[in-house]
Amino acid sequence: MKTVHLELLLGCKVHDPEGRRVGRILEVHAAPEGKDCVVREYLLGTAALLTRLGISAGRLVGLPIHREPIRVPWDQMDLSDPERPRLRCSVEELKRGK
Amino acid sequence: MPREKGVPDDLELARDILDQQVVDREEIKMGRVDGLVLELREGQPPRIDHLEMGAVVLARRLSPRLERWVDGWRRRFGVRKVARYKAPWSDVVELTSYHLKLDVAALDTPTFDWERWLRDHVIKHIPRPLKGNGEEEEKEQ
Repeated sequence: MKTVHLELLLGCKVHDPEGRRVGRILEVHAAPEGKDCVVREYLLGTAALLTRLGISAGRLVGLPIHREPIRVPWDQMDLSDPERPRLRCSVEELKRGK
Repeated sequence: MPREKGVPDDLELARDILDQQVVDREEIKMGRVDGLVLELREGQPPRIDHLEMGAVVLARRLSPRLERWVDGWRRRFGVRKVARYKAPWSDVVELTSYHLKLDVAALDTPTFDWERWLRDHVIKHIPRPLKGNGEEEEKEQ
């Protein structure tokens, strides 16, 4: 059974297939499914951290700017090496798939 | 899909579970969620396998060196039999904004090893108050 520790995954840098840095994993979205609780998506970027804290970057400095975190579906995240998570697609593809 | 237990439909794992207060079925505080282990499955979304509690798990979040130091300290001076208490997700019966309830008895888990040790090695040896006639009071059961 392959496992990964969430607390160690948080803060890990994620790269795309070309090796470009996408952001850090700052939150993991999950939902109950029967008796289990399964991961739906990983949230990347500082906006995810601010979401976690319940504030937005814009509001923090008094501007009406709202940034959305990068949402990576569970099947687009390669965790075969949990210390070096990689996207299975580019960020542009993720945004197009929104 | 019907909910199997008292867990919200949408969860942010770091915000809602990590560091959450853990209580047993009698709502006795057992500590906090120090770690969360996900099982990676082929062709299926990762699922929460178990929660971890313990100073060693907390230390690992800061640095592997600190984890080794805390574990060494535990081996030498600690009374806990295990470094980390693992609670399977199936034991979670309720998750609210203020606690995570497990379907266990806290006194039967390693989280209460220190309390048991204190009871057997310290509290037991504290003299009980004397009755008016000089006899020791009956120990309450």
